[in-house]
Amino acid sequence: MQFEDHLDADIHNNFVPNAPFNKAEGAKEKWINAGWWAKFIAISIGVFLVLGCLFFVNISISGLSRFGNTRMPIIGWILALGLLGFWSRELWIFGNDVRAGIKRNDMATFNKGLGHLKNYFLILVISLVLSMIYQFYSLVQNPQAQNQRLQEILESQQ
Amino acid sequence: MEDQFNREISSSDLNSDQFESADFAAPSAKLPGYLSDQQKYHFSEIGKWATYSGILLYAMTALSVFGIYKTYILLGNFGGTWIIVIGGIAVVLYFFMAFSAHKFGTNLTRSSVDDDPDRFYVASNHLLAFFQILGIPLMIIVVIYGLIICFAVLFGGLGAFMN
Repeated sequence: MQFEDHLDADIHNNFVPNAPFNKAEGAKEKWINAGWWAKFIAISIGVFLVLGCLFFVNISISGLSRFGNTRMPIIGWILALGLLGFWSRELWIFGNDVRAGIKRNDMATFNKGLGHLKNYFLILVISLVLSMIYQFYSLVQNPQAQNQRLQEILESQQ
Repeated sequence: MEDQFNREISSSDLNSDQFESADFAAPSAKLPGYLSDQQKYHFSEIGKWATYSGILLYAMTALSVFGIYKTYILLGNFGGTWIIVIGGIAVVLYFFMAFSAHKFGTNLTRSSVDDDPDRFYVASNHLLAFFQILGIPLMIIVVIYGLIICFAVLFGGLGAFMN
């Protein structure tokens, strides 16, 4: 097949060579760096997940998670750690695919990375909504009970 | 095969002189836009969710200010100042994360709607900033955590230095 035939066929299929960097060459470096940071964040979150699991199990046993009456049930911890796990996974795959896609000039891999970036922001929205509900719930709860619990903790530490 | 294909019609080839002959019309004039359909879809979806994230992060910033103030009132002299300092850093980080996510989302969406590569470049800058704002504090925390673990392994914990 001649070069012209290749080009005509793919223009027909809406193929854009090297898109989206053919007109924004400087953006390549930004996405490669963003991919590196995404992978770093994914690893860090992974490490903190392991440490967090141990810590949360420890404070759940010792009862410190029942601070005031804003106690977070065990399902809350499981949800939080699960969401962090998905964050970590999506960020890692995004970083890998985007960096590999740009370096190899393989836009199919780059597009896969974009899909994972979308998932990451989706999970971020879900996490933020849940976090806001929890924070709001903590703030509007009975302040006297919170005060009393805080006093108990402070007195026990003195 | 795919690599070879990509090489064959890379942007440098399209701009090269060899195709500016009479029997080959300038291909760039025929290109439908700077993004493929799949990328347009991804960009609009990512832009939408990033914008929502930005708005929610702005709300979280406001909620955090209120929470810190309430905790400061509760704690008073028992570490209230530390809550203000640490909480203040967290609020600043929240704000800049919100700003970057929101700007990234809006610029990426506009770049796909308007076929505007300049907006894509601006969005790329904000994406990098967003990950750096999240990554640099994480890096500091990981280093501090590592040091604490090293102290614990080598000297039996930070408590060894307190006497």
